[in-house]
Amino acid sequence: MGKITRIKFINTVFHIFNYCLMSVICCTMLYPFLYMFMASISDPIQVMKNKIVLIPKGITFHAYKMIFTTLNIGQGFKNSTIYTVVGTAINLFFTSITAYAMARKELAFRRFFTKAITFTMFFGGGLIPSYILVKNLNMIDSIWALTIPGAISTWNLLVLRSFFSQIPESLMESAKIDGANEMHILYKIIFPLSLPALATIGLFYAVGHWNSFFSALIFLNSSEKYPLQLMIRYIAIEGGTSDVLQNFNDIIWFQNIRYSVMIVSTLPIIMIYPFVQKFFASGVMIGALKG
Amino acid sequence: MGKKCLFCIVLSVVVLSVLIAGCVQMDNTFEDKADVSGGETSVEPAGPVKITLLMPQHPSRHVLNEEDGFYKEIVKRLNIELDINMVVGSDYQAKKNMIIASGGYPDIFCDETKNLVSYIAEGIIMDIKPLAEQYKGQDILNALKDKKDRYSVSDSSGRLLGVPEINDVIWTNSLIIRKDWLNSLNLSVPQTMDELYQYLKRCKKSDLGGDGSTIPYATRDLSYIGIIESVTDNKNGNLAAWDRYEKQYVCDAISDQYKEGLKFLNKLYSEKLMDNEYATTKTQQWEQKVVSGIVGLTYDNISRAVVFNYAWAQQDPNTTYEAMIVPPLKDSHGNQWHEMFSPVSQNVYAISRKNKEIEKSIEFLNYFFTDEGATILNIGVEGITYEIGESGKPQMLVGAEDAINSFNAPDTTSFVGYKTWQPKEMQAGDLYAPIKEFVALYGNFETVAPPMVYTEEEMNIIGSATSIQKYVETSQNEFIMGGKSFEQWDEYVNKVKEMNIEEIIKVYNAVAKRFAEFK
Repeated sequence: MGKITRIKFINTVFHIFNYCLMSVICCTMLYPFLYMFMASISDPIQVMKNKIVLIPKGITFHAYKMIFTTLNIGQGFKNSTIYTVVGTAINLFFTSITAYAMARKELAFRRFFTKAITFTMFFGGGLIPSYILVKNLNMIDSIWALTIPGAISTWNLLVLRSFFSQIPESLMESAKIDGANEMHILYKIIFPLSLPALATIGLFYAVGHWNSFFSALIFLNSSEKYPLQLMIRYIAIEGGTSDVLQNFNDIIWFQNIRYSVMIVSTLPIIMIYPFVQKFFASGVMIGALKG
Repeated sequence: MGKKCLFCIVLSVVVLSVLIAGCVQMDNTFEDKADVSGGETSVEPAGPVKITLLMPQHPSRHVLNEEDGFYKEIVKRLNIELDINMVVGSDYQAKKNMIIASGGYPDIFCDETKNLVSYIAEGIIMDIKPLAEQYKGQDILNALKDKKDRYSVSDSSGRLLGVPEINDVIWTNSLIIRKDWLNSLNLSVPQTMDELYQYLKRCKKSDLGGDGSTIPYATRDLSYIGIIESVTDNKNGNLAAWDRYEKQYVCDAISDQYKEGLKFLNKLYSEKLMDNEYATTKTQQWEQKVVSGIVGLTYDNISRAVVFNYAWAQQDPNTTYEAMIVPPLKDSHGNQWHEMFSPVSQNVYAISRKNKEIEKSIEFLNYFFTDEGATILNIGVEGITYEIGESGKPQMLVGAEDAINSFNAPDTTSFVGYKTWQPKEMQAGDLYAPIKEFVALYGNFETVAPPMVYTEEEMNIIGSATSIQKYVETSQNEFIMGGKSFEQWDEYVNKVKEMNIEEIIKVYNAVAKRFAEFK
């Protein structure tokens, strides 16, 4: 009895410790966001004097007004959304049809193709050949430069191929007996059965597109086509608020602008995550059972 | 099944062959387009001539486009249609390198002269001098008549690397102090390091910024070192610093004067008279601190004093805040002086060897050294952006701010031609009068360090300076913050000498000698 009480006591202590630890970790993760938000809506002088800890002081939304008017961050939002939607659609289409073909045992030279594709995961041509290729395909300064070269991620392709391989062969054989061709099998059988996998891979691609700035930096020339992340890079890191700062009295808003830009850019991801996290959780195991 | 498989393989081979053939054809097309002209000018077509231009851009500032006044005037007056690629300054080098490496040289591109030295040796760009002589480029050559100006944009063989921008207002760095704080503390403008120290101490004690937020001395990046300029005779602990008295380059980073300067900074830091975030503060964070009125003394470009006063007056017309430029403290020889920045920019516009419109390119670059071109670039067009007032000076038309931006859109970082800074002056009178006065009093042009134009071999030697610089900067911060005691100074000096600093100083002096011999 005494032993059980002792074990219960140890368990309770362990749980209390765990909760405390997790609370500390949560606070550590949340506080920067909370601080950024509070500072972004506070009086800039108070921000400069480091007087903001938890509660905003002298509440004002002037910085938000500035980023949506003078800095025109809405354009970046629009561009990023287009690149993410179009890019993810292209990714999913090409990755899934390639993964399906690779998953079929009757594909001639299957091993060779698998090795050839895996090879590209470790060895790439490099940035300059990629740039020359994109340039010669006349895709510079267009959405295609951001979506076509990375249409298939080798890693995601292999993961999806593994998932497709787990689908029983007998299902496809039955469909063939019923007169289905390969396209029917893919769209009517494989895709409905693979929705969690496709959703997870799609989310990986979408988050990648949303956060990507380097391709845009290299391949885009027109600033009106810049995605949100590139605009944020110039505003938050490079301090590119000069349009605002042409009015010298707005210098004082610099820090507030940085914070509000960060809040605005992370907001879509924060809003979407609660709805899609179950896919992420299940996605961790995708392709893990069979190679 | 076997037949299907064979059919698929044959189809795949055919499709791939067509694609490869298409790509090869496409490549050839592009090769043809980018064929080297060897300097020959093509027959001028009836429509506007197209020139591709790669240039840096200030982040988020208005980006030049076809709707801008500048663009339209260039088409109208020069019959040139610009195909402009503007890249934000910090990413400019990466993108420019990529474009150059891929062989797709733009007709005209901007770069630092030190990079262009290699480019001209590799045949990527052309010597502008003979082109300017051959075509309509006389105004460029006239603008670079001064030996020093011309040398600063040439390579060691005298080849003109590119076309610069020449500033009307000459700048320098200086201490900038809060005049209203001096008045409320009943102090006069500091003239010695001790008076400076006393002022900072009183600022802290009286907490003139309020709420305990006062930062007596705040700067950004490495300009914090500027406060000790008089102690080091304006050499500021530089790895290779021009000694105006010895007329040669020396390594000031290991000098005794610099050691004294670091001791002073260490005193400021330990007594919390200096911004404790100084090492990581970026320009706009620092700017914001100063404008929010909590900083008593700073060191930066003298134009900032004008900007701060303008900002405060705009915020509150009855403001008591006032920034003033501190006259330079006397150096160890008893002289008050400042080294001036060169009015010639080091970012210049080069003509690539693949340029097929050389004559038009020279005409374009030359245009901004003419009265007409410089006026359009700086203040726009009469009747649209300005009108000539009774005083004979241009006056901005009401609501013409955006229109002016549309004319000087290419000049977000640096462009070509004469830069007159007129728009702001048109708005707020002679804004830069105090600066001109300061330059007239303390600007020293005779002793300005010679422009650094290296040979490729010298550049390889200079390359090793980066690691020494890194060590010096790290040690500098350690001495200031107390991470290293001054008893370790000799150890530091020996380490810098071991890193072969003397070789680098030799190169600097060889360059200076070459400049002296340059005709």
